[in-house]
Amino acid sequence: MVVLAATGAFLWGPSSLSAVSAACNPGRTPSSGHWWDGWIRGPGTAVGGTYATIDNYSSYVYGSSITAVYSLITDTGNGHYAQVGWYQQPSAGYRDVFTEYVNTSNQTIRNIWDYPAGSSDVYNVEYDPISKITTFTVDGNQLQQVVVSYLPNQGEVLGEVLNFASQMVGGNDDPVSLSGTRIYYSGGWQVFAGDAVNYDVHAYGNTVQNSGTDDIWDLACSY
Amino acid sequence: MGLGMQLLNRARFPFRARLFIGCLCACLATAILLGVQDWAVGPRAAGQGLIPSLAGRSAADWASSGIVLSSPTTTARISAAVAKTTAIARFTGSTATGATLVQMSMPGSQVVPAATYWAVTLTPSAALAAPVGGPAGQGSEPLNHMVVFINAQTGEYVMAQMWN
Repeated sequence: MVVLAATGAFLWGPSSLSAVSAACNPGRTPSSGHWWDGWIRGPGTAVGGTYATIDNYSSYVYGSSITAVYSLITDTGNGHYAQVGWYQQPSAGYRDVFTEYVNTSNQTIRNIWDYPAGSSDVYNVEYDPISKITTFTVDGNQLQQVVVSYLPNQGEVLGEVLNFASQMVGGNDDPVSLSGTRIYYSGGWQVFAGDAVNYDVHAYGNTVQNSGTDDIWDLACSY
Repeated sequence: MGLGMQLLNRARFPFRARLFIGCLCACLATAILLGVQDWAVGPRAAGQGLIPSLAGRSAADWASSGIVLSSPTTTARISAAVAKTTAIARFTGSTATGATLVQMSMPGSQVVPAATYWAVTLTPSAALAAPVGGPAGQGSEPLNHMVVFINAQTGEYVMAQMWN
Protein backbone atom coordinates (compact mmCIF):
# COMPACT_ATOMS: atom_id res chain seq x y z
CA MET A 1 0.00 0.00 0.00
CA VAL A 2 2.69 2.41 1.02
CA VAL A 3 4.94 1.16 -1.72
CA LEU A 4 2.26 1.74 -4.30
CA ALA A 5 1.62 5.19 -2.97
CA ALA A 6 5.28 5.99 -3.34
CA THR A 7 5.31 5.50 -7.05
CA GLY A 8 4.13 9.06 -7.23
CA ALA A 9 7.43 10.06 -5.74
CA PHE A 10 9.28 8.87 -8.78
CA LEU A 11 7.35 11.27 -10.96
CA TRP A 12 9.12 14.10 -9.25
CA GLY A 13 12.34 13.08 -10.90
CA PRO A 14 15.73 14.56 -10.18
CA SER A 15 16.03 18.15 -9.11
CA SER A 16 16.99 20.70 -11.70
CA LEU A 17 19.80 21.77 -9.41
CA SER A 18 23.16 20.91 -10.85
CA ALA A 19 25.72 19.01 -8.91
CA VAL A 20 28.19 21.04 -6.97
CA SER A 21 31.63 19.64 -6.47
CA ALA A 22 34.33 21.76 -4.97
CA ALA A 23 36.03 20.26 -1.95
CA CYS A 24 37.31 22.79 0.57
CA ASN A 25 39.27 22.24 3.74
CA PRO A 26 37.41 24.15 6.44
CA GLY A 27 40.59 24.21 8.58
CA ARG A 28 39.03 22.86 11.74
CA THR A 29 40.82 20.82 14.38
CA PRO A 30 40.35 17.08 13.81
CA SER A 31 38.02 15.34 16.21
CA SER A 32 36.12 12.09 15.70
CA GLY A 33 32.40 11.98 16.34
CA HIS A 34 29.10 12.70 14.65
CA TRP A 35 27.90 16.05 13.39
CA TRP A 36 24.57 16.40 11.61
CA ASP A 37 23.02 19.14 9.50
CA GLY A 38 19.58 18.81 7.89
CA TRP A 39 16.02 18.48 9.02
CA ILE A 40 13.67 16.21 10.93
CA ARG A 41 9.94 15.65 11.07
CA GLY A 42 8.11 13.72 13.76
CA PRO A 43 4.39 14.04 12.94
CA GLY A 44 3.29 12.34 16.14
CA THR A 45 2.00 9.24 14.40
CA ALA A 46 3.31 6.23 12.46
CA VAL A 47 5.53 7.13 9.51
CA GLY A 48 5.57 5.06 6.32
CA GLY A 49 8.46 6.63 4.47
CA THR A 50 10.58 9.62 3.56
CA TYR A 51 12.14 10.72 0.33
CA ALA A 52 14.13 13.68 -0.94
CA THR A 53 16.10 14.79 -3.92
CA ILE A 54 19.66 15.07 -2.63
CA ASP A 55 22.44 16.81 -4.52
CA ASN A 56 25.59 14.93 -5.20
CA TYR A 57 28.62 16.79 -3.88
CA SER A 58 32.33 16.18 -3.63
CA SER A 59 33.32 17.51 -0.23
CA TYR A 60 36.58 17.58 1.68
CA VAL A 61 36.65 14.54 3.94
CA TYR A 62 39.33 14.51 6.61
CA GLY A 63 41.76 11.59 6.72
CA SER A 64 39.99 8.31 6.18
CA SER A 65 36.71 9.28 7.79
CA ILE A 66 33.33 9.30 6.10
CA THR A 67 30.77 11.91 5.12
CA ALA A 68 27.20 10.96 4.21
CA VAL A 69 23.82 12.39 3.21
CA TYR A 70 20.64 10.32 3.41
CA SER A 71 16.90 9.95 3.84
CA LEU A 72 15.93 8.06 6.96
CA ILE A 73 12.99 6.79 8.96
CA THR A 74 13.38 5.82 12.58
CA ASP A 75 11.55 4.45 15.55
CA THR A 76 12.64 6.90 18.20
CA GLY A 77 11.41 4.55 20.90
CA ASN A 78 14.01 1.84 20.34
CA GLY A 79 16.44 3.39 17.88
CA HIS A 80 15.63 1.17 14.92
CA TYR A 81 16.08 2.92 11.62
CA ALA A 82 16.40 2.47 7.88
CA GLN A 83 18.16 4.87 5.54
CA VAL A 84 19.36 5.31 1.98
CA GLY A 85 21.79 7.88 0.64
CA TRP A 86 25.33 8.38 -0.51
CA TYR A 87 28.57 8.48 1.40
CA GLN A 88 32.07 9.58 0.57
CA GLN A 89 35.28 8.09 1.84
CA PRO A 90 38.41 9.64 0.37
CA SER A 91 40.69 6.68 0.96
CA ALA A 92 38.39 4.52 -1.13
CA GLY A 93 38.10 7.19 -3.79
CA TYR A 94 34.38 6.63 -4.23
CA ARG A 95 31.07 8.21 -3.42
CA ASP A 96 28.87 5.19 -2.98
CA VAL A 97 25.14 4.75 -2.67
CA PHE A 98 24.41 2.91 0.54
CA THR A 99 21.50 1.53 2.51
CA GLU A 100 21.56 0.77 6.20
CA TYR A 101 19.08 -0.51 8.73
CA VAL A 102 18.84 -2.12 12.14
CA ASN A 103 17.20 -5.52 12.11
CA THR A 104 15.06 -7.03 14.82
CA SER A 105 18.18 -8.51 16.46
CA ASN A 106 19.55 -4.98 16.87
CA GLN A 107 22.18 -5.75 14.28
CA THR A 108 23.18 -2.98 11.89
CA ILE A 109 23.26 -4.06 8.24
CA ARG A 110 24.81 -1.85 5.58
CA ASN A 111 24.76 -2.52 1.86
CA ILE A 112 27.01 -0.64 -0.54
CA TRP A 113 25.79 -0.57 -4.13
CA ASP A 114 27.45 -0.21 -7.47
CA TYR A 115 24.97 2.46 -8.47
CA PRO A 116 25.97 5.42 -10.64
CA ALA A 117 25.14 8.64 -8.84
CA GLY A 118 23.78 11.48 -10.91
CA SER A 119 24.00 15.20 -10.23
CA SER A 120 21.12 14.69 -7.86
CA ASP A 121 19.06 11.64 -7.04
CA VAL A 122 15.80 10.84 -5.28
CA TYR A 123 16.52 8.70 -2.22
CA ASN A 124 13.45 6.96 -0.90
CA VAL A 125 12.96 4.67 2.10
CA GLU A 126 9.53 3.24 2.88
CA TYR A 127 8.00 0.94 5.43
CA ASP A 128 4.80 -1.03 5.12
CA PRO A 129 3.52 -1.79 8.63
CA ILE A 130 1.33 -4.64 7.38
CA SER A 131 3.93 -6.65 5.47
CA LYS A 132 6.81 -5.29 7.63
CA ILE A 133 8.73 -4.68 4.41
CA THR A 134 11.20 -1.82 4.20
CA THR A 135 11.95 -0.77 0.62
CA PHE A 136 14.95 1.26 -0.48
CA THR A 137 14.96 2.99 -3.86
CA VAL A 138 17.04 5.51 -5.78
CA ASP A 139 15.38 7.38 -8.63
CA GLY A 140 12.67 4.74 -8.62
CA ASN A 141 15.12 1.86 -8.93
CA GLN A 142 14.49 -0.59 -6.15
CA LEU A 143 17.75 -1.46 -4.47
CA GLN A 144 16.44 -3.81 -1.87
CA GLN A 145 13.56 -5.00 0.29
CA VAL A 146 13.94 -6.40 3.78
CA VAL A 147 11.49 -7.53 6.40
CA VAL A 148 12.03 -5.75 9.70
CA SER A 149 9.54 -5.28 12.48
CA TYR A 150 9.59 -1.80 13.95
CA LEU A 151 7.36 1.22 14.07
CA PRO A 152 8.88 4.34 12.49
CA ASN A 153 7.55 7.61 13.83
CA GLN A 154 10.04 10.10 12.44
CA GLY A 155 11.56 11.07 9.11
CA GLU A 156 14.96 12.68 8.69
CA VAL A 157 17.03 13.98 5.81
CA LEU A 158 20.53 14.76 6.97
CA GLY A 159 24.10 15.44 6.08
CA GLU A 160 26.64 13.94 8.47
CA VAL A 161 30.39 14.14 8.99
CA LEU A 162 32.34 11.75 11.18
CA ASN A 163 35.20 14.14 11.79
CA PHE A 164 34.92 17.81 12.73
CA ALA A 165 37.80 18.60 10.37
CA SER A 166 35.70 17.41 7.42
CA GLN A 167 33.61 19.75 5.33
CA MET A 168 29.88 19.53 5.77
CA VAL A 169 28.50 19.03 2.27
CA GLY A 170 27.91 22.33 0.50
CA GLY A 171 29.43 25.79 0.59
CA ASN A 172 28.19 29.34 1.17
CA ASP A 173 27.59 29.90 -2.54
CA ASP A 174 26.58 26.34 -3.35
CA PRO A 175 24.59 24.71 -0.58
CA VAL A 176 23.51 21.12 -0.89
CA SER A 177 19.78 21.12 -1.37
CA LEU A 178 17.51 18.53 0.24
CA SER A 179 14.57 19.28 -1.99
CA GLY A 180 11.21 17.78 -2.85
CA THR A 181 11.21 16.23 0.61
CA ARG A 182 8.11 14.30 1.56
CA ILE A 183 7.01 12.12 4.43
CA TYR A 184 4.30 9.46 4.48
CA TYR A 185 1.80 9.39 7.33
CA SER A 186 -1.95 9.39 7.88
CA GLY A 187 -2.47 7.48 4.65
CA GLY A 188 -0.60 9.70 2.21
CA TRP A 189 2.53 11.59 1.26
CA GLN A 190 2.75 14.95 2.99
CA VAL A 191 5.07 17.89 2.58
CA PHE A 192 7.96 17.43 4.96
CA ALA A 193 7.74 20.76 6.79
CA GLY A 194 10.45 19.65 9.18
CA ASP A 195 12.54 21.30 11.84
CA ALA A 196 16.13 22.22 11.07
CA VAL A 197 18.82 20.27 12.89
CA ASN A 198 22.27 21.82 13.09
CA TYR A 199 24.82 20.31 15.43
CA ASP A 200 27.17 23.30 15.25
CA VAL A 201 25.70 26.61 14.16
CA HIS A 202 29.19 28.14 14.19
CA ALA A 203 30.41 25.62 11.62
CA TYR A 204 27.40 24.77 9.44
CA GLY A 205 24.64 26.65 7.68
CA ASN A 206 21.05 25.48 7.48
CA THR A 207 18.16 27.28 5.85
CA VAL A 208 14.68 25.85 5.48
CA GLN A 209 13.68 27.34 2.13
CA ASN A 210 10.11 26.07 2.16
CA SER A 211 8.04 23.13 3.38
CA GLY A 212 9.84 20.78 0.98
CA THR A 213 13.38 22.13 0.78
CA ASP A 214 16.21 22.51 3.25
CA ASP A 215 19.67 23.79 2.26
CA ILE A 216 22.80 22.81 4.17
CA TRP A 217 26.42 23.88 3.82
CA ASP A 218 29.71 24.47 5.56
CA LEU A 219 30.17 28.06 6.73
CA ALA A 220 33.94 27.91 6.20
CA CYS A 221 33.63 27.10 2.51
CA SER A 222 32.60 29.34 -0.35
CA TYR A 223 31.76 26.54 -2.78
CA MET B 1 29.69 -56.92 -36.84
CA GLY B 2 27.84 -57.70 -33.63
CA LEU B 3 25.66 -60.62 -32.91
CA GLY B 4 22.51 -58.51 -33.07
CA MET B 5 23.30 -57.28 -36.57
CA GLN B 6 24.09 -60.79 -37.70
CA LEU B 7 20.70 -61.87 -36.48
CA LEU B 8 18.98 -58.96 -38.16
CA ASN B 9 20.66 -59.70 -41.42
CA ARG B 10 19.53 -63.23 -41.55
CA ALA B 11 17.02 -63.88 -44.25
CA ARG B 12 14.59 -65.63 -41.93
CA PHE B 13 13.75 -62.24 -40.33
CA PRO B 14 11.25 -60.47 -42.57
CA PHE B 15 11.67 -56.74 -43.18
CA ARG B 16 8.86 -55.73 -40.77
CA ALA B 17 10.39 -57.74 -37.97
CA ARG B 18 13.80 -56.15 -38.56
CA LEU B 19 12.16 -52.71 -38.63
CA PHE B 20 10.40 -53.42 -35.34
CA ILE B 21 13.55 -54.63 -33.66
CA GLY B 22 15.45 -51.63 -35.00
CA CYS B 23 12.90 -49.21 -33.60
CA LEU B 24 12.96 -51.05 -30.30
CA CYS B 25 16.73 -50.73 -30.11
CA ALA B 26 16.49 -47.02 -30.95
CA CYS B 27 13.94 -46.48 -28.19
CA LEU B 28 16.10 -48.34 -25.71
CA ALA B 29 19.14 -46.28 -26.68
CA THR B 30 17.18 -43.05 -26.28
CA ALA B 31 15.90 -44.11 -22.89
CA ILE B 32 19.41 -44.97 -21.77
CA LEU B 33 20.76 -41.67 -22.98
CA LEU B 34 18.02 -39.74 -21.20
CA GLY B 35 18.74 -41.68 -18.09
CA VAL B 36 22.41 -40.84 -18.27
CA GLN B 37 21.53 -37.20 -18.75
CA ASP B 38 19.35 -37.29 -15.64
CA TRP B 39 22.20 -38.73 -13.68
CA ALA B 40 24.46 -35.99 -14.95
CA VAL B 41 21.97 -33.27 -14.00
CA GLY B 42 21.24 -34.84 -10.65
CA PRO B 43 24.30 -33.67 -8.77
CA ARG B 44 23.95 -30.13 -10.13
CA ALA B 45 20.33 -29.98 -9.06
CA ALA B 46 21.28 -31.23 -5.64
CA GLY B 47 23.96 -28.56 -5.49
CA GLN B 48 21.40 -25.78 -5.77
CA GLY B 49 20.44 -26.09 -2.12
CA LEU B 50 21.10 -23.32 0.34
CA ILE B 51 24.67 -23.13 1.52
CA PRO B 52 25.08 -23.85 5.25
CA SER B 53 26.85 -20.60 6.09
CA LEU B 54 29.06 -17.83 4.78
CA ALA B 55 31.35 -15.56 6.77
CA GLY B 56 29.94 -16.90 10.02
CA ARG B 57 26.32 -16.23 9.12
CA SER B 58 23.75 -18.89 8.34
CA ALA B 59 21.78 -19.00 5.10
CA ALA B 60 18.76 -17.90 7.12
CA ASP B 61 20.67 -14.86 8.40
CA TRP B 62 21.61 -13.96 4.85
CA ALA B 63 18.07 -14.44 3.66
CA SER B 64 16.76 -12.17 6.39
CA SER B 65 19.04 -9.46 5.04
CA GLY B 66 17.58 -9.91 1.56
CA ILE B 67 20.30 -12.11 0.08
CA VAL B 68 19.62 -15.71 -0.98
CA LEU B 69 22.73 -17.84 -1.28
CA SER B 70 23.03 -21.31 -2.75
CA SER B 71 25.64 -23.54 -4.29
CA PRO B 72 27.00 -22.27 -7.63
CA THR B 73 25.32 -23.44 -10.82
CA THR B 74 28.12 -22.42 -13.16
CA THR B 75 31.86 -22.41 -13.03
CA ALA B 76 33.75 -19.16 -12.63
CA ARG B 77 35.50 -17.46 -15.52
CA ILE B 78 37.65 -15.41 -13.20
CA SER B 79 39.77 -16.79 -10.41
CA ALA B 80 39.29 -16.28 -6.70
CA ALA B 81 42.58 -14.38 -6.63
CA VAL B 82 41.32 -11.90 -9.23
CA ALA B 83 38.06 -11.48 -7.32
CA LYS B 84 39.98 -10.74 -4.12
CA THR B 85 42.14 -8.19 -5.90
CA THR B 86 39.04 -6.48 -7.32
CA ALA B 87 37.39 -6.35 -3.90
CA ILE B 88 40.46 -4.92 -2.21
CA ALA B 89 40.90 -2.33 -4.95
CA ARG B 90 37.28 -1.28 -4.51
CA PHE B 91 37.60 -0.97 -0.74
CA THR B 92 41.09 0.31 -0.18
CA GLY B 93 42.69 -0.53 3.13
CA SER B 94 40.63 -3.66 3.64
CA THR B 95 42.07 -7.17 3.82
CA ALA B 96 40.68 -10.19 1.96
CA THR B 97 40.37 -13.28 4.12
CA GLY B 98 38.64 -15.68 1.74
CA ALA B 99 36.55 -16.19 -1.38
CA THR B 100 33.64 -18.58 -1.87
CA LEU B 101 31.83 -19.29 -5.12
CA VAL B 102 28.08 -18.93 -4.59
CA GLN B 103 24.85 -18.46 -6.46
CA MET B 104 23.38 -15.21 -5.16
CA SER B 105 20.08 -13.49 -5.73
CA MET B 106 18.25 -10.59 -4.14
CA PRO B 107 14.53 -11.15 -4.74
CA GLY B 108 13.64 -7.59 -3.78
CA SER B 109 16.27 -5.88 -5.91
CA GLN B 110 16.04 -4.45 -9.41
CA VAL B 111 19.75 -3.71 -9.60
CA VAL B 112 21.39 -6.99 -8.59
CA PRO B 113 20.98 -9.83 -11.10
CA ALA B 114 20.86 -13.43 -9.90
CA ALA B 115 24.17 -14.97 -10.93
CA THR B 116 27.21 -16.85 -9.75
CA TYR B 117 29.45 -14.62 -7.65
CA TRP B 118 32.65 -14.78 -5.77
CA ALA B 119 31.73 -13.84 -2.20
CA VAL B 120 34.94 -12.23 -1.01
CA THR B 121 35.22 -11.94 2.75
CA LEU B 122 36.95 -8.75 3.84
CA THR B 123 38.15 -7.29 7.07
CA PRO B 124 37.14 -3.70 6.36
CA SER B 125 39.41 -0.77 7.07
CA ALA B 126 38.69 1.06 10.31
CA ALA B 127 37.35 4.02 8.36
CA LEU B 128 34.96 1.90 6.37
CA ALA B 129 33.84 0.03 9.48
CA ALA B 130 32.87 3.26 11.18
CA PRO B 131 29.12 3.62 11.62
CA VAL B 132 27.64 5.92 8.99
CA GLY B 133 24.47 7.84 9.46
CA GLY B 134 21.76 6.66 11.72
CA PRO B 135 19.36 9.06 13.34
CA ALA B 136 20.70 12.37 14.52
CA GLY B 137 22.20 11.97 17.97
CA GLN B 138 22.58 8.21 17.70
CA GLY B 139 25.77 6.32 17.00
CA SER B 140 26.22 2.61 16.46
CA GLU B 141 28.89 -0.03 16.74
CA PRO B 142 31.55 -0.46 14.05
CA LEU B 143 30.64 -2.79 11.22
CA ASN B 144 33.58 -5.16 11.35
CA HIS B 145 32.29 -7.85 8.99
CA MET B 146 32.07 -7.52 5.24
CA VAL B 147 31.39 -9.62 2.15
CA VAL B 148 31.88 -8.23 -1.35
CA PHE B 149 30.11 -9.86 -4.30
CA ILE B 150 32.10 -10.03 -7.54
CA ASN B 151 30.41 -11.44 -10.65
CA ALA B 152 32.24 -14.69 -11.36
CA GLN B 153 31.70 -14.36 -15.12
CA THR B 154 32.47 -10.69 -15.73
CA GLY B 155 34.63 -9.81 -12.73
CA GLU B 156 32.44 -6.80 -11.95
CA TYR B 157 31.78 -5.58 -8.44
CA VAL B 158 28.05 -5.58 -7.78
CA MET B 159 27.44 -4.87 -4.10
CA ALA B 160 28.78 -5.43 -0.60
CA GLN B 161 27.23 -6.10 2.75
CA MET B 162 28.62 -5.11 6.14
CA TRP B 163 27.34 -5.88 9.62
CA ASN B 164 28.36 -5.64 13.27
